[in-house]
Amino acid sequence: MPEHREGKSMSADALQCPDCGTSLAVPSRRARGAWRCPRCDAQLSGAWALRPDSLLALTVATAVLWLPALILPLMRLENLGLDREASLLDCVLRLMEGVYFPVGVLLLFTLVIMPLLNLLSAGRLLWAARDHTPSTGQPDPFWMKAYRHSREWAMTDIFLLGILIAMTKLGDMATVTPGPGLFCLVVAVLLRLIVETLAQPDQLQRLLEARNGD
Amino acid sequence: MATNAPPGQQRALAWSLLIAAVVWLVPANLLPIMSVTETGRGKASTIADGIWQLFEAGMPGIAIIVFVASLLVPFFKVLVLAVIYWRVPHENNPRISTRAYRLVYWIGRWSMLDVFVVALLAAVVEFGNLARVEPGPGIIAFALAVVLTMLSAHAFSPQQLWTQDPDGADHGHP
Repeated sequence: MPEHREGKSMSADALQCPDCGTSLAVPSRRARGAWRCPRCDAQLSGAWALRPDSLLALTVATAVLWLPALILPLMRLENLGLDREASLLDCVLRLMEGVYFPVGVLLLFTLVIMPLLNLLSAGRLLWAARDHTPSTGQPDPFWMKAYRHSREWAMTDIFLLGILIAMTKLGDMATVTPGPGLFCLVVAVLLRLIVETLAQPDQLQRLLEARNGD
Repeated sequence: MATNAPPGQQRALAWSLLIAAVVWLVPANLLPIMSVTETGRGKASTIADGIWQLFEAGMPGIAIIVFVASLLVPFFKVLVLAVIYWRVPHENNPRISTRAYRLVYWIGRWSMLDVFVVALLAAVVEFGNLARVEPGPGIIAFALAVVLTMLSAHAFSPQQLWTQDPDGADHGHP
């Protein structure tokens, strides 16, 4: 979500709804269920407590899988004795040659740069939100902004559905076998979805403010 | 993005990005998005052709997914955004509009699906003269249209929908 969605906190127990601007009292930490704005129904926090330690662990696991997901072959195609493999990076580079360069750049942006930024910003923010990290004040606002934008522009989840469709399309023309890169990509995308669902930006922001406030 | 710009200017930017997206949607749907060459014979296909081929190949489930992501969603999103922007000056049901905005905001990115499929096919089907897939000019227009609608939704802020309320006095910045 864009930066104008940032909930402006006015004090420790009140904030403004980022969508409609209503002043709201923050419910107690023990309250259960997702918290939504009563006026416009914006989701202000997820249904689960945000646990920075476990989410940071998942982010590190995603980072480990990320490089192999990028460079190992996603699938292998065999046709009349010839075979060919392609990795995620191959797809990006294939479109970056020739007149389709702008589309290639868009792929580079949505499949490589933004997911990387998502990993870095989630890692940085969750690290700062941990109880055991020595408090060094709020992390740079750049990271929260990067986290919000990268949630939308990192499109590896959509790419995964694209792989499924490409494999079915190719199924009747050649023999298709999934490669090791596909396995890494599936796990990395699943882990990223868990982190993103549990670490809602507004909720994370409030946690950081509560930890580093005053 | 246009966070601190006055609401009118914000909306003008959102409108112009949306109109640009509509313009690009035309070539996106008329020009071929890729061409498949098999044993010397080439065949170009547009977005609609691709969906039809999937149907004929007996994969209606996948065909419906592609139809929703690459045909239905782009047009639906442009239409919904236009209605939301149009209604802002005399908005009488901001709750519904905000919900619609949130919905199209998050489904719009799924339209990139077709771009990814073309990239994958072009990268993996490279058997020289025997069989190869080349991207077509439609894919540039399509990618542009998707990005422009996403940017248009970015330029708009749903807070604008709520400022007309009678109790809007306390909605300024703290």
